[in-house]
Amino acid sequence: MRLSLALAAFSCAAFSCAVAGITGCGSSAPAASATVQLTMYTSVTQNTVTAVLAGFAKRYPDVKVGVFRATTGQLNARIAADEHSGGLRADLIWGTDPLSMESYAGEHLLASWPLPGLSGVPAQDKAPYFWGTRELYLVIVAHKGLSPLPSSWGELTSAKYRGQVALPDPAAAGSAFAALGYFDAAPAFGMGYYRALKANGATQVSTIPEVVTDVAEGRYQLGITLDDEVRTAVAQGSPVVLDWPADGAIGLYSPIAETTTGRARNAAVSDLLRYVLSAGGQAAIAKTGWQPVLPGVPGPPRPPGATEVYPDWTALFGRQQQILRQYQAIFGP
Amino acid sequence: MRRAVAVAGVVTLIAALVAVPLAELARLAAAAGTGGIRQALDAPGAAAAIAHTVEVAVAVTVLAVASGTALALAVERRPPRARRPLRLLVAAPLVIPEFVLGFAWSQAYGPAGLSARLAGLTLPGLLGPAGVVAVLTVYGMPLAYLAVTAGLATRADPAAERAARAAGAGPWTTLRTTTLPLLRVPLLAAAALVFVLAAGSFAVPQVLGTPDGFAMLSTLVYTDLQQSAAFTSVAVLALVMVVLVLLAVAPLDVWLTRPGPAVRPEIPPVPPPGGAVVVTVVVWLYATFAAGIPLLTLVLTALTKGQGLAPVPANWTLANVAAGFAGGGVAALLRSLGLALAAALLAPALGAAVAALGRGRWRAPLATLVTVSFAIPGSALAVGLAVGYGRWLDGTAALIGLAYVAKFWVLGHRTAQAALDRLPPGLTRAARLCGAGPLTAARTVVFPPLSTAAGTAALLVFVFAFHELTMSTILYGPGSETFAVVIMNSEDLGGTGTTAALALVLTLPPLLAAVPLLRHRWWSS
Amino acid sequence: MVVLLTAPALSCRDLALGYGSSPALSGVTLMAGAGETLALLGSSGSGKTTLLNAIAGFLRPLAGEIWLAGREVSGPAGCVPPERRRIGMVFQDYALWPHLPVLATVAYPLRRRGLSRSAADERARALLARFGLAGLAARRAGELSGGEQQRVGLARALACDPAVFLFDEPTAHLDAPLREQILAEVARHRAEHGAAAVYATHDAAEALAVADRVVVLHSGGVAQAGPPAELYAEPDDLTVAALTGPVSVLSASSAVSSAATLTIEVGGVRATDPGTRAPGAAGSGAGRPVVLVRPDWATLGGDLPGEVTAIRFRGPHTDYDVLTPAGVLLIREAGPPRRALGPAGWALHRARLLPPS
Repeated sequence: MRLSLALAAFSCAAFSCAVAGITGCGSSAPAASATVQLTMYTSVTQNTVTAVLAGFAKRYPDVKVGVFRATTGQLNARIAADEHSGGLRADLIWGTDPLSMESYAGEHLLASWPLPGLSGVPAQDKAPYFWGTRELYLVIVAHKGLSPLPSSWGELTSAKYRGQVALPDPAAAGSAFAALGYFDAAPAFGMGYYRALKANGATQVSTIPEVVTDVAEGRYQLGITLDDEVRTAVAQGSPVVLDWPADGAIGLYSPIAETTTGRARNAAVSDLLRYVLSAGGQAAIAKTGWQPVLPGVPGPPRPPGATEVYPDWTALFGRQQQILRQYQAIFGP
Repeated sequence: MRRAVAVAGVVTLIAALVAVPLAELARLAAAAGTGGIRQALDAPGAAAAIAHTVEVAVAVTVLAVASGTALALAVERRPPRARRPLRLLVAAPLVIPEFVLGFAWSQAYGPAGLSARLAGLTLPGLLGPAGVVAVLTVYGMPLAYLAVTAGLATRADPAAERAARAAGAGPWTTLRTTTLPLLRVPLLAAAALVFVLAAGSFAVPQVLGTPDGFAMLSTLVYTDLQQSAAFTSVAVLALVMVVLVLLAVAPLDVWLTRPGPAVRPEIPPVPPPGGAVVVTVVVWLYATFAAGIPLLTLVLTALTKGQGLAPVPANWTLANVAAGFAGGGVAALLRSLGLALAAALLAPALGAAVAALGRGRWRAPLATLVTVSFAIPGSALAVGLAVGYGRWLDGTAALIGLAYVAKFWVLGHRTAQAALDRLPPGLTRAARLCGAGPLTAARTVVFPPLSTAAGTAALLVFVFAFHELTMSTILYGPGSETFAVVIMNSEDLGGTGTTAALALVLTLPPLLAAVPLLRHRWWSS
Repeated sequence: MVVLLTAPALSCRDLALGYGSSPALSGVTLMAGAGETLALLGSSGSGKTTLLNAIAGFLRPLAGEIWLAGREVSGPAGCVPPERRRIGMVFQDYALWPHLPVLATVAYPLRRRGLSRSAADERARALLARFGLAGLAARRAGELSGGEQQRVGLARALACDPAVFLFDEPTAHLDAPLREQILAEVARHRAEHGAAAVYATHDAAEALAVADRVVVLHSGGVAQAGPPAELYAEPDDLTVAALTGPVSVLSASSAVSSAATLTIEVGGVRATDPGTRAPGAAGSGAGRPVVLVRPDWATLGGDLPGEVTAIRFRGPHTDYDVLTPAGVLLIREAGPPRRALGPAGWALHRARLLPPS
C-alpha cells in the first residue's frame, strides 16, 4: 500500500533528521572558526580533570576540550575500536599508569614528547613518549575498627585476614596494573604473592573506588587502593582507615601524552600539556587530593615516616601482556 | 503490485537494521575459520558463560512462568474492581529499569545492605547465580503474568470451565484438564518471552553476577570488548547467543502468526478455591519485597553522605545528586531523552508498517521476521551493528539510535497488530465505496482508531529506549554516552550514593509512563 | 411511439473470478436493469461475496467485463477504482467506523463528494430521520444494537447516492423481527430510489422475497437464473431446488408423461393427476426418475398411504413430516395442526420431475 511506503519513507527522513540533531548536540560543541577543538581520552578522576580544564580554559579561552573519561580498561577498548574504524580520535591521552601508556606507545599511537625543554619534572617520571603529571600511591584501606591492622603487604596473605581482602582488577584499573608489575618484579613477592592471596580467599573486584566502597560497607575488611580515594572517603565520614604499609606504598606516576592524531591536527595540544605541568595545573591537581610531580607544589598530607617503593618501569616495558596473562591464570579474566 | 513494492521497502529497512548485523557477525566468525571459532569457544570462561546462560535462562523461565500463571489464575478470577490494583502491584517491578532493580536489590538485601543493617538479614547468594536468577525472575514474572492474562481473556473460556464443573470435575481437576490445556499457547508465548529476556539480559548479571565471577554470555561479550576489542571472538560469542535464543524461541513464531481471536464478552469467571485475602496478601508482599523495599533503599542510599554510613537523617545530603550530574551527566540525560524520543517516533511507525503489510500471503514471512528481530539478544545486535556500520557511525549517538529502533520496532508491531486485529473487517472497503481514495481512507478510517495503540507503542518504546543499557554500553563513544551508561560507570566506580541518585532519575520516566500504559492494557490482544 | 433504450444498471459478461490462478467462479453473465433487484442465492463459499467484491471494484476479474450504467468498469481495458464507481454497499458485519459518531458516518460519503461539513451534516440528519435514527446521531457504533447498526449502514449507503446497491448478507447477524424490518426498508427505498440492487444471501425465503430475478450460484458458476416464482416451481436440478426453498425428494418407480398429465408410480401406488408439470423431454429413460415436491404441492387427506411422524406448528402454518413408501414428504398447511401423529392419507397435486442423475 502506498500508505506503508509513505510510512517507511517518513521513517527514513525523520531518522536522518534525528540523527543529525543528536550528533550535532551530542558531541562536543561545534567549533567556530576561531576556536580550536581538542579531544582528550583520560582515566583520571572526573573532579581532577574538571579542575584542571577549568584553569586551562581561563588561560586559553579559545580552546575547547572534549573529554572522554573512562576506566583504563574501557579506554583500551575505545582506542582499539577507534583503530578498527578509521583511526584514533583523541588528540591526547591522560592515563593512570605508565604500563598502559607504554602499550599505546608500542602500538605507535603516541607522538614523541613535544616539550623536552620543560623543566621541573623529576627524571623518574619521564619516558620518551610521555611524562608524569601526578604521583599516586597504592596503599591498604581497612574498615574502621579492624584490629590488628596489617603493617605490610606481606601480611595480607596471613590467615587472620582470610577471605577479607579485596583487590582491584589490573585489566580494568591502571594503578592495579602498576601494582601487578611491581610485585612481579620484586624479589620478595613475585607471582607467588598473588597465588598466596588467592589461596587466602582474596577477591578481585573491579575498580579502585569500588575497593573503597566495598570496604566501607563492610563487605570486605581490607583492600588495595589509591591513597586519595581513601582520604576522600574518610573526609565524607565513611568508616575506613588509611593504612600506609611499612615496607612502602607502591608509587606510580600518571602520564600524559600527545597522540599521532594530535600531532597531525593540533598545535594547541602542547599548550594543554604545558599547562598541566605548570604551577597552575599542578595546584589544581593538588587541590583535588593528588600528589603533584612539580617539587614546588605542596601535596596532600602523608603519615609521618611514610616511604614509597617504585617499580623499575623500563624493565617492565614490553612484558605487560605476559604479566597480565600470568595474573589472569590465577584470578580469572 | 504496489503492495509488493511497499513490502520490499519495509523489509529492506528491517534488513538493514537486523539482518546486516547478523550477517556481519557471521562473516567475522566465518573469516576466523573453524580454528578461530574453536579458539574463541575454548577461551577461559567461554564454556562456563554458555552453560551459565542456559542454566539461568531455563531456571528463570520455569520459575517466572509457574509463578506468573499461578498468580494470573488467582488474580484474574477476582471481580474487576479488585483486579485493577492487584494487577498494578504485580506489574510494579516492570516499571523499574533492570539495572536499577539489580542495583537496588544489592543495596537492600546484599551484604552490608539495608536489611543487614536493620535486621542482620541478607539474602545468601544475592551476589552470584542465585541472585541473578532471583532478580530476573522478579522481572520476568510480571511478563508471564500479563501474557497469561491475555490468554485468559481470549482463549480460556469460562464457559468451558463451567461445563467441566457441571460434568462433575472438582476445581483442581478442572484446572488440570480444562484451563491449562486451553492456555497452552499463551503459556508457550510467556515462556518464550521470559527466555528471551533472561538469556539476553545484561544489566542484572553485570551488577549481581560479575562481582562473584559469575559470567553470562552478555557480560562476557562486554568484558571481552573492554579488554581486547577482539571482534572475532566476540562475534563468535554473540552468534552463540543468537543461536541459543532462536532455538528456544521457535514456538513463538507459531503464536505470532496466529491471527488474534476476537475478544470475548465479559462472562463472570468461576472464582477459585481459597480466599481472596490470601491472594491480596501474597501480591502485596510480593510487590513490597520485590519493588517497594529496594526502591526505598535506593532513596535512602541516594541521600546518604558517604559509603558505609548509616542512612539516618543525620547523614543525609543532597550532594550526591549534584556529584552524579557533574561531568557529562546532564548532556547524557538530554542525549538519552532525545534518542528515546527519536526511537519512540520511528520504531512504532516501522512496526505499524509491518503490521499493515502483514496480511494475506505476506503474513507468515513478516511474522517470522518479527520473531527473529525480537529474539536477537541486545549484545549480539550491538556488536553486529558496531562491526557493520562502525566505519561510518562508530561512537556516534546515531548508532545507538539505530540499535534502539532495531530492537524496539517489535514493540510497535505487536501493539499495532493487536489493534488491527481488533478492528472490524471491511472498514477501508466501506470508506472506498463512499468515495475515499486509498490514502484518504487510511487517513480518515484506519489511523484514528489506531491512534491509541500508536500512542501506547510510542510510550512503551520511549520507556524502554530511555533505560536501555545492554546495547548502549557496547556502542557508546566519546561524546555519546547515554544516561544509563553514565549510571553504570558510576556504579563501576563504586560511588553508591551518586549511582543511587542517578538511578532514581532513570526510574522517573517509566514511573510516569506506567499510569497511562497500565490503564490502556497494552498487553492484551 | 418512442422506445427508450437505456443501458442496464449492471451487466456482467462471462466473468471469471478467483484469487490466485484457478477461478472460483466462471462464466458468470447477469444483468440488472434500473430499479431491479437481483438476488444472488448460494451457500457459503459459493462465490457471492467474491462476485460482489468484483462488482465493487476490489477484485480484478480474471476474464470477462463488468459494466455499470453503460460504462465498462472492469475488464481487459482496466479497472475503475471503487471510489469512482457509484456503488453503495451494505455489509454483513455492518463495517461502521468505530471512532466516528453515527452522524459523521452517514455524512462521510457526502464529505468525500466535496460538501461542506454543515451541508453534509444536514443531509445526513435528513437521512437518519427517514430511518428513524435521528436520536442516535451522537452515538458511536459500539453503543448501537445490531439492527440499529445495520440501519446506519443502510443510511450510509443511501448517502452515497449510488446507481447500484450491493447487499452482502445484511441480515445474517440479525434476529427474525429485525430481519423483516431491514427487508421492508430495503424494499421501500428501492422503490423510491429506482436504483438497481444486488442482494447476496443464503436464505431462500429472503431471496424470493426481495428479488425481481434470482441468480443461483453453485459449483463455481451460475446454476440457474430467473424470476423467483419460476425458480421455485421449476428448478433445473436438485441443488437449485434445495437452495430455493424447502423441498422433498421422492423416488418414483416409473413415470409416464403426456401433454397434460403425468403418471407417477410412487411406492406401488399410481398417482395420476392433472396439472402436474414435467420438464420438456418426455420422462422416459433408464433409471428411477427423481420427483421434487414442494411443501405446498401436496395436502393431507387423500388416498395415498402415509404416516405423520412429526408435527411442527410455525404460527401461520403447520409443517407435517409424512413418511411415505417413496420417501419422507414435507407437507405445509395453513393454520394450526389439524392432524395427530399416526397413519394419514395424502394427495399429490403437483410435482417436478427431474431426469435420473
